[in-house]
Amino acid sequence: MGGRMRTIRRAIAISLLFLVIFCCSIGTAATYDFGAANGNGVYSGTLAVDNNGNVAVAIAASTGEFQVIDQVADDTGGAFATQLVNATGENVFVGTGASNANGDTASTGALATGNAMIETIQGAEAGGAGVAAGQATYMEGQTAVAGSLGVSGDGYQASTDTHISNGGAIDTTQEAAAGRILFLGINAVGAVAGQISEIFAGNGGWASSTANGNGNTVTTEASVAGEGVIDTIQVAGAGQVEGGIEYPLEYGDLSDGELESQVGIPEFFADLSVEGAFAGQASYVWSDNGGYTRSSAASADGYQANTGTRYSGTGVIDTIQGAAAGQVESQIGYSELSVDLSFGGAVAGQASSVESNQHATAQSSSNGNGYQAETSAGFEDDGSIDTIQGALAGEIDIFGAASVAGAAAGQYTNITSDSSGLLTPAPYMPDVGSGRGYASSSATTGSAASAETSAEYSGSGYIDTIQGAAAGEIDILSAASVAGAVAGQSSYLGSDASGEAHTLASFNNGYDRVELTSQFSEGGSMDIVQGGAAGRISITDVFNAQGAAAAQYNPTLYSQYAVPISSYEMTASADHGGEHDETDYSDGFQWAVAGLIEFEGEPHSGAEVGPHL
Amino acid sequence: MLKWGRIYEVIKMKKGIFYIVGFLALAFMATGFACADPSIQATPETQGITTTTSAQVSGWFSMEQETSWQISTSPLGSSLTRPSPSFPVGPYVVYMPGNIVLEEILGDGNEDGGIIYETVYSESTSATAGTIDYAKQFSADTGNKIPGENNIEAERLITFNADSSGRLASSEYLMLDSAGEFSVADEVFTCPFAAQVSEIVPQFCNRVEMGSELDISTGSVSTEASDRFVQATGDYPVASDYSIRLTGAGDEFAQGSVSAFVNVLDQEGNVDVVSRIPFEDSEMGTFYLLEMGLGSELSYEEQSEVHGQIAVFDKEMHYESGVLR
Repeated sequence: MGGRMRTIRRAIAISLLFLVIFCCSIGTAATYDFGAANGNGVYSGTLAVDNNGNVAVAIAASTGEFQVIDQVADDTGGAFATQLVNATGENVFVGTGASNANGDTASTGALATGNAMIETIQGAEAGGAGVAAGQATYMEGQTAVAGSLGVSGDGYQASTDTHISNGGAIDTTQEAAAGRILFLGINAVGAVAGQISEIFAGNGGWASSTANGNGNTVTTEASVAGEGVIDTIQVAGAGQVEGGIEYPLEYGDLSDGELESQVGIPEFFADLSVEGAFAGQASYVWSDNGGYTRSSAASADGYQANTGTRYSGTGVIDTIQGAAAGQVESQIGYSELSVDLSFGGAVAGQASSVESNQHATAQSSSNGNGYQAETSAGFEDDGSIDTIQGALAGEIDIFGAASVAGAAAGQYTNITSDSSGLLTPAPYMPDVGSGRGYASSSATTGSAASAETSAEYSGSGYIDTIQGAAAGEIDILSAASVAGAVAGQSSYLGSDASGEAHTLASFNNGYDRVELTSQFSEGGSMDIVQGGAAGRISITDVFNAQGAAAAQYNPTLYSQYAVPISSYEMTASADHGGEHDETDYSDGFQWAVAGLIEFEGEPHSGAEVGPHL
Repeated sequence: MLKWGRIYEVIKMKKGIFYIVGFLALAFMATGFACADPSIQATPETQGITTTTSAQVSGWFSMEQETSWQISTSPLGSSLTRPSPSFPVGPYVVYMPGNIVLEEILGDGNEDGGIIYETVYSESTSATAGTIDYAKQFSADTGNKIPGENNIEAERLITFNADSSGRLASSEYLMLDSAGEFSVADEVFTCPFAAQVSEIVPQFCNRVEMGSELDISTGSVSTEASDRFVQATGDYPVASDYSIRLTGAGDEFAQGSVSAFVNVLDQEGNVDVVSRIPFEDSEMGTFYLLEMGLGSELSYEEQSEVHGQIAVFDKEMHYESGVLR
């Protein structure tokens, strides 16, 4: 009964989906029903063909038996085929597809093996302007896959799929379209695929979407190992795309109340304009043996961007993430946290929450044209990460305030972890356990310039940080510019053991090198701002340098077991070839420079830190 | 003597005509359409037969040889099967290679259409009341071959001088017959560009026969017969060759009659891929909607025959058929 209800609900959903395809052409056509049975199994289908090159087909096959509730081919104004099938057997396949004279094809299918069962409504439509195929399917089996694929005649491709690899069930609504299409609020000339899926994996499962064309490739994926659940909404497209991904979601409906997600995709990609490829997902992932989500993009001109979350043990990922490659203009993020973004290259980003009882990471990276940037957050032991991360490579303009020609990555992240109880502490030591948390960002131009910044703690603790790193030609508000690498953070961290914030900038293979550290031990906290840059650095009318520079401001360094603040808790060092300077005591602010520096019109050369107190 | 001398002079003058007749060297090729003929792969166990025959005899000589070989992707004697899984729908054929469920229901997943090749080579030679110098090399190899190699190969060199009433009579026959259902080009060819020529290799039904007959009282004849159709890949065309050259011994004319022939009947299918719809997962396969029919029929017959005093009769025949030529 539950399955029938799902089917009816899906029927409504897919009926809505099929409102989006452009059609039609007038022509004569024919429909054919076919089918046969033998000792090996049974198959049945229906076919529509018109004389304008439109074809639609629906096929169901089972090594056991199936009940074809309805199987219809319609040749009015194009070709349309649909089927409503309940099938069981050792191996079961139900699929539909459509093609037109332009070479556009779209298909959707469900395949299950091993005591398999499929309840599905599927449809495919072909018209003069495009094709579409979609399904609403509930399926069980030892292995099962539901997938949709759209391929446009001019070479764009988009697909979406869900899998279980060792028992379980899939409940999915998905569609692929190619040609001239209107899909989930998106106008596209190319190919688009999407899914709303719930995967109940007995021992492993995943959902992914990919798109490619004209040298641009994107993918997004959510996966669990072991027993788990994935609730996901995914979209991938390639070609010329305009619109906003706005789908009227009631995400909890998919799980019959068993699971509810706090994520939703509306407005995350608003006013999207892509000439290339993009993919995105809003996913909830739970598993007792690890899981991950990831999105990646690679542009035709060699730029790459990746973002992802991963955990081991028992854990949860709640994420919205996406990736795009090519020429992209979009407003990304929620309304209160959205930014206007314009770039040519590759970009990936996520807003994610991760929990695990072992360890977890969230990471974003980008590279291209010799530039690399990465930002990551993670913990060990029982903890959680809440993060907004992004990475991009190429030529990027961020709401007119900053521009990067190179690679950049950044994050706004909160990490907490609790290691108590994992280890029995020695009587004379605080309960520090074996836990660890960290957040770091780095960027490099290769060997010439690099910058990195990090915050880390051991034991039970937390980090609340905004970090970023970029490499290449970076301009901020036309007031500061760097041709090289830059990294910085504003972090608040605490722990029952030790903590450290660290920034390093290096230029010319380390010839010019500056390093800043703030740390506490035996429990404490700090609120710190650090920044470093390497290369050619300019702050208009104030500072010019070719080398490395860094500064830190730490107004609230507090150490539980060291009162007052120990002199070793803030350090700065600078090296310019053989010249070296360092300091280990400050009043909350330190700076370090190395190389050729012009400060307020006065030139300097060498390595210097300050203040020396 | 003068009479024979006059004849000789005429023949010398008309020698060009003889050469023209003889050199109707039929290097013809079946072109202008997609000849399927994808060849066939060798069986796991292969055989080789080689014979060499040499005889110098005054008196009586006889040579009889017949070779017949059938090779098929399906059990011999059964009808050709279409690739599985495929089935007719109205005027079309639905083909879904790679779909594991339909493959289990309809067949064992043989993505190549059924193909059968048959070749026959025979020779019948007898010489009486004369002196014969006979040499022959014959080989048959059922393994995969590449251009430059052959599955059937026979070379003969015969010189005969009759006594008062002696004759040499000889006939040689080579036939290559093939038929096949449609196949997916990717499964047949190694060349990645083959599918650009034809994504689906259409059905085909081809036959070529070549051979010669001679009845002489004196002369020297050489023949070469060969064919190649067992290959690891369909990238090379199948080929059949036959040549014959008859001359007199020394400065003498050959006397008698000789003929050589080639007969070809090629029927090539035409497969219109009405629709090709790939599915997301490889185990769901690819949906093909095919419309098939006879796309080309080539019939070719040629026979050259000479009688009398023959200075030279030379005829070469070459046949090849394939998608990639």
